[in-house]
Amino acid sequence: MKKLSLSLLFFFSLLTAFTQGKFDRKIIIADSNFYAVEIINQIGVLWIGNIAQPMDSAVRYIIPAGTKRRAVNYQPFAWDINNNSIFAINFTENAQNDRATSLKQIPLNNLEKYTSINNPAVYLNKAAIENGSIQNYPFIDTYKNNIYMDDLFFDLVTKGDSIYQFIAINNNLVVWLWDGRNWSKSTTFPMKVRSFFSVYAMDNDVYIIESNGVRSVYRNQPIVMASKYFDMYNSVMINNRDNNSIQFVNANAFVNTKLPLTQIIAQNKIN
Amino acid sequence: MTRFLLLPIFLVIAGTVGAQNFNYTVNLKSVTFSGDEMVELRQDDNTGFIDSEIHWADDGTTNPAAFPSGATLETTATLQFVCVIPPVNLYIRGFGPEGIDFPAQIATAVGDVFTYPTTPADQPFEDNKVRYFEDFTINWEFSLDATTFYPAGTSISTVYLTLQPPKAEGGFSGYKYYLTVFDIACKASNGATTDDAMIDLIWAEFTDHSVLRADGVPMGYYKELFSPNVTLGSLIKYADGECYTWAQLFLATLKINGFSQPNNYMNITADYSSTGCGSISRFLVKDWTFGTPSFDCTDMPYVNVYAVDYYDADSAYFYDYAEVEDQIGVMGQTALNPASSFSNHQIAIVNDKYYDASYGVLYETFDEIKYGAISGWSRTETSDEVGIGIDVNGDGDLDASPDFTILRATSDLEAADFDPSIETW
Repeated sequence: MKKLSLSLLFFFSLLTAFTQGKFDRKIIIADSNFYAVEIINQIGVLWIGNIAQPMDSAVRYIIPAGTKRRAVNYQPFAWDINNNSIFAINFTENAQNDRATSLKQIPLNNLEKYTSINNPAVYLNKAAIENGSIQNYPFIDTYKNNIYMDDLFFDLVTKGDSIYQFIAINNNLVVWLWDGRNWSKSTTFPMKVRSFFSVYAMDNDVYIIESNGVRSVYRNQPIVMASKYFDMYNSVMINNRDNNSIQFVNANAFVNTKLPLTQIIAQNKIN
Repeated sequence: MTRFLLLPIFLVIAGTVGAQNFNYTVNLKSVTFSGDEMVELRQDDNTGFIDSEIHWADDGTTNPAAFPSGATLETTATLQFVCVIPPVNLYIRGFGPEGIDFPAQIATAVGDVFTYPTTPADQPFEDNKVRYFEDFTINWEFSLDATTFYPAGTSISTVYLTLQPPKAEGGFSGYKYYLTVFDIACKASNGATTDDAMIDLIWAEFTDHSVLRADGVPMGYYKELFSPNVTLGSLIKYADGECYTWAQLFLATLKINGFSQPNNYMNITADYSSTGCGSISRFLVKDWTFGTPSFDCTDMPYVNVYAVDYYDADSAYFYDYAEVEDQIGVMGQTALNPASSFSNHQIAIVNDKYYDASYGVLYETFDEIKYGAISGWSRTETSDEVGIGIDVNGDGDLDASPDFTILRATSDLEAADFDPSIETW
């Protein structure tokens, strides 16, 4: 097995003063619409809009799921869109959170429109209780087998009816696959991860991209591909399913959401 | 009554002296602290920083200042000096507490206002010692000849001195230099000269279940049964919060004093032990009384049925049917009977001890937590009257709908254990 080279520059772990800007992790484009998630008071707000219209014209929905901001390492919201549903891992801080129900599958037409989150308790409790029909056994297993969680990073991606969870902790990566009935666990792949990574599906494969830009394809094991090195930490991944491409845009570009996404990408793409 | 109170204040801040055949009226106008190590304090409502341009003014303004111990406070002051013929030179000096004085300097005039230039105190604050000066009082004097000085007024401000330089605000944790954090950190550990003493003194502040915000408002642990507040900032702003906020507050007061350790923020959950009724995922913090069990399921024989408006409750849990009931037990911060049915709980770890700031309880070992804190284990699931065999609505039969959420519980503490996960805050 080709050893996965996921070691990251140490300084990435020190970049805790930075964020990815307005949107967490990625923006998905499908059928000329974009899907982006903003985190407000831990709760995710899903923007759905036309890529050729100002981003501000997007309709916004509250996702009863979200992510906390940790002290040491940034863990952006892990989410995906598939079959008109949003899939997400709830990683908020709330005393009612149950790891078993932290994996959410929510039809988009069940989401409530966002006006303001003036009572976060309602949505934090929804995030803790609702929409967790698929037991997140990968989380239970991960927490049962690890105590120190500063270096926990994870992401999910859906492909057909399958859900992949990539969980890295304490220099090990495990890939979990939900086949619609059961979870199966990969072998443990040694690796060093000191910052978050993202996963995406394309051309019947699932890919991992580390925060320094190194890409791997996952075919029962991660296989490192030729990579362009860049700082994914301060960028947002554009998963364009219309033209089957992956791009990265400077996260600061989304300070101005009066522009259409197409224009923002054209002016701020990194690679 | 008001007039009698104002009179002595006026006498303090203003003086009149006859010298060289002139009458002079002097009023201390303002005092500003500075120094390379002065910390910029944040407003408790997180709306910005506390004004660091003025620490005392004759209009009644006072603002606190904070420094690490061993720092040297610098100050500037303005005096209004009214007379027919203003003097060419005016000398100003100040006498602070504990021999911290500000030497005489020639003050420059703009109109009738003389400015004492930014001047360091003649000695630094004592090193390695937490101090809380609720009233850091400086008696100001002026002179026309640098020999004979006259009272010019008194400034009074609050000054905080931390044991070591505060750890930098940082990251995503929400750790910030809120006024309340300094207030608790320095007031509670005033006089501490070691980390251990500082930690012990601050912890003592949490054990009486009355932790006050800087403005004197008691902060609570679940004053609201389903508090939305899970960050340090929201605890301070709203004076109420979940366990996360209290663990953060305690750790923040230590960080303000320059003390921090990795792996200091522990989340505990039930360990999902398997039972014949499903895995155990929740716990009930003392006290809960276990009534007559229905034994719908042997391993977790007690059943409660959540009311539809369960999460609308303000101060007590809503159940449509209950075999397990919440009682007053372990007191929380400013809360006689706080929320007590959880999936997880947050505890600070300091020097390998477990500080549960939400309840003001210290555990020497991890195992003590289970036996000291909880009445039983539980889990939630969806069911209906047929599923649990109980006529919840009392209509004389068992209905297959609607579904409702149930709590299964056991008082057998050996049925599960806590599962810790630890991060650095």
